[in-house]
Order: sequence, then structure tokens, then C-alpha cells
Amino acid sequence: MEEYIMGNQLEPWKGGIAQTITFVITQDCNLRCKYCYMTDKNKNSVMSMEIGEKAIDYFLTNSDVFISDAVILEFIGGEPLLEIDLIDRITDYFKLRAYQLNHKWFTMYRISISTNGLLYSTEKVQKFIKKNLKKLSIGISIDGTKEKNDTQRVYPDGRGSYDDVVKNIELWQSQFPGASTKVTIGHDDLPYVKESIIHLWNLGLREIPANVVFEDVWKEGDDIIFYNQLKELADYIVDNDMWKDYNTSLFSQGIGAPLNEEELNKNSCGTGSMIAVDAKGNFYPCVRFMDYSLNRQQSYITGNIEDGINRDKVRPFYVLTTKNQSDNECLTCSIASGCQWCTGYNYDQSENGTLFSRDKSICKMHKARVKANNYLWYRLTRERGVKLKRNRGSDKYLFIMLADNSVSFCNYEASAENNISLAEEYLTQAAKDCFENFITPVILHSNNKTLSVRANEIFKGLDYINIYTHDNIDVYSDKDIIYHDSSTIYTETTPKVCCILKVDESELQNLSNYVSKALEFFDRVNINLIYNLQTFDINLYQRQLHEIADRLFEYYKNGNVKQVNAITDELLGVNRRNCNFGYKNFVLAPNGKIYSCPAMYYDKKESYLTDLKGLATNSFLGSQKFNLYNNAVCKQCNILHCNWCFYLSKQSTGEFSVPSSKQCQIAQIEKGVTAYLFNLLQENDIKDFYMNKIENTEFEDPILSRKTYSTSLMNFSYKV
Amino acid sequence: MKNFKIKLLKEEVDEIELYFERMNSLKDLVLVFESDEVFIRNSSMMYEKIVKDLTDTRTKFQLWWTKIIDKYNLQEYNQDQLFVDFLDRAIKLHVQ
Ligand code: SF4
Ligand code: SF4
Repeated sequence: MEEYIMGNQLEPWKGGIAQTITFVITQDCNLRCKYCYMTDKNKNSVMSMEIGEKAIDYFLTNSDVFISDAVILEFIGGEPLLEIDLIDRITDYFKLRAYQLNHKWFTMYRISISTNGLLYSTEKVQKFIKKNLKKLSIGISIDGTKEKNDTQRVYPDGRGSYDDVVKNIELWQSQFPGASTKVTIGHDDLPYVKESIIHLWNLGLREIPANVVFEDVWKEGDDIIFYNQLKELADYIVDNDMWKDYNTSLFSQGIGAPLNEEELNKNSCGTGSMIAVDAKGNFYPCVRFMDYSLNRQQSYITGNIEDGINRDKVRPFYVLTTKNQSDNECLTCSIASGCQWCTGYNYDQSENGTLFSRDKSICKMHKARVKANNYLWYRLTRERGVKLKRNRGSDKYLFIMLADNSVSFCNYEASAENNISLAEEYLTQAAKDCFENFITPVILHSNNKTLSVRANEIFKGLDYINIYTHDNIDVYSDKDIIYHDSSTIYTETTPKVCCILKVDESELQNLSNYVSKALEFFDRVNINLIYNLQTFDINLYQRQLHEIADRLFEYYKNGNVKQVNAITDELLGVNRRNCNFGYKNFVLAPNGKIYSCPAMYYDKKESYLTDLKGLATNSFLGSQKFNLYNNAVCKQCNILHCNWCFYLSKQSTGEFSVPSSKQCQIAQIEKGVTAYLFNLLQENDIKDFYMNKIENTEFEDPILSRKTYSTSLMNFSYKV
Repeated sequence: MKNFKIKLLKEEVDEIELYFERMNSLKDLVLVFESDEVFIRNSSMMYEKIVKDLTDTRTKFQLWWTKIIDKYNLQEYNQDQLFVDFLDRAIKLHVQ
């Protein structure tokens, strides 16, 4: 795979575990940046050496409180370089005391300074840099082009600061190769985002952290300007091959997905575990809790150099999580990952000075950023063959059936009896609504090439998936999913990524032959069995799966990762999900209506949920009865890969939410074969191909589990 | 040669990182003594202790390389050509 850095996260020193101690050395500054959160700049709050020494003594002599193996001494202001002598004396004092006390931080420390760069080349600053170069990092803030920088970063008399900073950049880069500058984007900067990032790259800064401010500064239409800027930047990146050697955090592979349990239980920033000290010797969770950054609330003091940390005051930070700061909209937001906030600003904006709230001023800007990210990653994968390091972002999909005889990818037969095709106006509307609502379109093609070509024109630029019939050969690429059956698979000629392989129950005895054939060309094979629950031969199925597992093992032995859904999903997947139809996934049928799943369309045309307009409204929200986690039987089952189908459930048990025993049996047999493959891999010391440890267990119908058992079953034995 | 990479054990990387960081800390501490004020406030005994500490750490640093070059059969390289990428936990070659 070709290496590239676009979208990578910047790796913090020591993996981010170092204790950060921020010395707010002065509240004075030689600039008056318009977005600066420090609302009360003054010349009277310069830290004294005595306070600096006492603070160092406190931190070094309380190793029971500060347990990290490494420390970052951070100096900020105002403008910290105004007090370079003081920084020099405090850092020298730290080195001496840490050495005398034989403290572990003597070995593992860093000094970090964030500056506007105006004083960078002065003699005193240069002397300090040379003395500390091996342990020092200095970040200079420039906001891109001269025009953008000078709208925001101005002297007290209103003059722009660009020229005075940029003359120091060459020296800075020679002393700190790989240095980066942080770009902060406010309302006035929006029209300059693209050119600013490109400008900084041209200055030789390859990695540009950039973010929009958290504050409530955004006006109507700002999200659209931001999106357009990022989209143009994305085009520049793709067209000039910039993704390989350049990076900006505006594009990240980690954003735009729903939050997982781990993320829900974390806070968005390190506040609370960091500590800031001001000129009076007071401690704060971070500088955003100091008076000078707050407009509405009192400062949040967590201790001081005399009395130490007040543990009760830091207790709330231990329990601060995304869950208890966010409202329901954010907790269930499909694109929440990467949507950040500042806990200090939340606190300041809260009604009654609480940490347990979240300001959402950034919401529409995050949405714009995610849209632009989807656009960039789509172009890179489609046009440049870049392999993404992330899973697809959004968890909602709209399957778009182009015609009645579109590919059928599940346990139902497509019927072309009415032979309707989806009208172009619906396609255009669907493309727009999917884009606006972070729904990934999945186009189910038919044999009608003209229609396929037109659909691709309409969806161009969106992050979407195609499932093609095998004979639509001039239209698809090797990145698309191809639909095969037991005969067409033998006509396949070129390697591709993924196929859906339809096998009828009557052909079950040849399943492993068909899958083996498919594995010759495809990295992943999704078996699509068409079967009847009553007549399905489960033992034959098990034997066939074993043969496929043996085949997979041969591939794995040769270092070749191949996937077959029924066997490897349990091995490789971490999240539990079923097909999600009716809950997160929906179908736009050729009649322009939205259904819970394609089978429902073929079965009963009048069972549609909403018309296409519903996509843009909340009426599109999925029904809980189709949610795997809400179904009384499945929610206590630990099978990850099961293809629980509510449509089959309804047919067999009469209830959407109660699977038939046979469905559970099929899933457990598949898991048993996964365990068989897992054991083969373990015995042969092949470790790279699984994430989960799989144990083989006897079939146990989940209906018999204690939690499901109700008194109505007490009087007779329920035997499968 | 571009892809030359010898993966190290976590303990091996932790050990060399410690020596590397300590050497740098000690070198920086020596510079602190260039200011007379500091020299007077802290005895020259301390200065001598730091210098000795620096020599000892250098020796440990060197022994680590000798041990590792042996273990991973890297004798064909000059030690100056090699470096440890702490993030990647690997020995790599300096780009010439
Ligand atoms: S603020 Fe908006 S974009 Fe961010 S998580 Fe909440 S709803 Fe989603
Ligand atoms: S095996 Fe049965 S209980 Fe478990 S998820 Fe599948 S259908 Fe539900």
C-alpha cells in the first residue's frame, strides 16, 4: 500500500500520557488577536520567580499526586516570550531540583512554548533555544496568508503582524524541523481557509493542525462557506497529489462516525488531568478556567501552591464524560466523532456554572467539515486508489433500487413483474438528501446500463457504494461490489474487491465449490443464501462451511487475507450488528417510496414507511422494533455476525422481533466454523488475521436463557 | 535500503529511550552551570556528580548498542548509520 500522511493524527509525545503543567507566565501580549479567548489582557499579572519556584517544588515533591512518568512544562501567556528570562530561570530551577531530588521527570521532560513568534529571533530567545534545544518545542501561530493573518492577528494599533512573524519562519524551521503551526479559524477567516493552508504548506510546514473556534461566532451561511473552502482544498489535494506528504487536521480519517462506547465514556479534551498555574500560584484545570478566559462564570480554582490540589474540586473531572455532557441529539448523532468542544467554554456558557453541559455552537461547522471529508476520501479512494485507514463514517445507508430487477442481495427474490425504473427526479433528490443527512447511498443496479451510467453521473462526488449485476461489465470498476450466482461466478476473469454470491438451497451441496471459485477473484465473498427455514439442511450447510474454512486457511497460511462473511466476520469484526434494515438502513424502491427492506417492497407495495421527502425529516428515523439491541431475544445473545432478518422472523414466528430457532441455529453453526478456523490459525501460530478469540460452544437456543424465560413457558419444556 | 527496519522489543526501546533522554537532560543541566549564580548556589560537588552521571549514562548507552548490534546481527553497519525510531519501536538507517 502506498504510504501517505493526509488524515493521520499528530502523535503527541509519550503517546499523550505525560503530565502537562501550564505556567501562565504573563497576561500581557504584544498583539491583540481578534479571536483570542483571553478577554482581559494586562501588564500586572507577571509570575514572580518565587511563585515559579514554589510551584516547581510542589509538583516535584508530591509524586503521590502526579504519577505520570513524564512531564511537559508548558509556557503560555499572553505572549510568553515577553518573559523569556523568567522562563529560563524557572526551567533551570526545574532541572536542578529534579536532579537533586532524583525525580523521574528529570529524565523525561519537555519544555513547550506557544508564541506569536514576533520575538523569536531576539538574542535572548535564541540563547534560550540553543540551551534547551534537545528538550524544547516551540509553536508559532500564523494564520495562513498575509491577508488572513492580518485580519485577525493584529498589533494594538490595528496593524497586521504577518511580515514580522514570517521573517522568523526560516530560522524556526531550521531549529525545529517538522515544526507545525496551529491555525485557528473564526468567522472572518472563512473565505481564506483554502489559500491559507496551501500557503503554509508552501512555506514548508507539512503538518497543519487547524480548527474552527468553539465559541458562538458563527453566522447564517458560514457552514456553506466553510464546506466550499474545504471542498476546493480537497480538490487541490487530489489534483496535486498532496495527500502523500502533506497533512492538515481539517481532514481526518477519524471523524464523522457515530461514537462508540469507549468514546462516549471519555471527555473530549484533557482538561482536569492537565494543570495550569497563574501568577498568584493558583491552580486551574486548564487556562480556559481562568478569569481572563471567562465571561460569565467565576474562575474555577482547583488549589494553589501553598495548600496543594483540592481533591474535591477536581472530582467532577474524574466523572466527566461525553455521555453526561451531551444531549440526546449529540449522543445519537451519526457523525459525532471528531465533533469537539472546550470544557472551559461549556462551563462559561452554562446556565449555572456546571461542567455537565455542552455548548453546540460548532454543530453546523462540524457537519460541513464531515461533508468535505467524505468528499476528499471519496475522491482519493475512487480516483487515486488510496486505501483508507478508517471504516466508513456514517452508520446510515439508503439502498437505492434502480429498477424492479435490481440485484437482490438477501434472502428474497427480485421480481420484475412490473418492470418499473426509478425516475431521475427521485435519483437526484435522493443524492441531495443523502448528502445533507449523512446517509451513505448504496446503488442496487440492474442490467439497464443507461440507467447505471446516469445514476453514476448523479452521485459523482458523493461517498457511495455500487452493487452491480455481473454483466454490467462496462460500467463497474474493481472497487465495486459485483453480484454473482452459481453459474456467472465461473465467467469471472479479473481480481476485484467484493462480491455477493447468490446460492440457492437446492445447490447447497456445491456451496464450497462456488465460494472457492469466487475467492480466486475476490478479497471478500458475501454468501447470499436463498432458503426456506423449514427445509434448510443445516448439517449439509455446516459441512460446506468447514470446507470453505479449510480453503480460507490455505490463503491465510500464505499471508493472504480473504473474507467470507459467514465465517470471518465473527473473527474480524468488533461491533455487533445485523443487516440493520428498518433501523439504520432503508430502501428507496423504484416507485419512489421508502421501505424497511427490499423484501417488504416485493412482498407488499403498500407497506412503505414514507415517501422520499421523509429522508430529510425525522420521519426517516428507524423503528426500534428492527433494532437488534432492542429485540428481547437477540439483545442477550453474544453472536456478533448474525444476519438476523426481521422479515424472516415475521414469517416464521409471527413477530418481527422474535427470530425463529433455525435462524439462531444457523448463526451458531457459522460461529462454530469460525471457531474451527480460529483454532487452525492458532495451532499454526498465524496471528495477524483475527481480532476476536472465538470459542466453540454447543448450540443453545437463546429463548431458553433465564432472562427471556417468562412464566408462560414454565408449564412445558420448550425443546428445539 | 529505504525499507530497512529492525523491530525491537518494548523493553529494549524503553531502555535506550531512558539513556537517550537522560543524556540529554544531563547535557542541558551542565549548561545551567554556565551561569555563575547557579554555580555559587550549588556546590561544585554537584557539578562533578552530574559529569560522572553523564559518563555512566553514555557507557550504558554504548553497551546497549553493542548488545543490540550483536543480537540482531547488524555488524555490517557502522553504529552512526543506525538510529532508533521510538514511535515505531524500530532500528532504522539514517538517510544518507
Ligand atoms: S454538536 Fe452537532 S454535529 Fe456535533 S455531535 Fe452534536 S449533533 Fe452531532
Ligand atoms: S443468533 Fe439468534 S438471538 Fe443471536 S443475534 Fe442471531 S437471531 Fe438473534
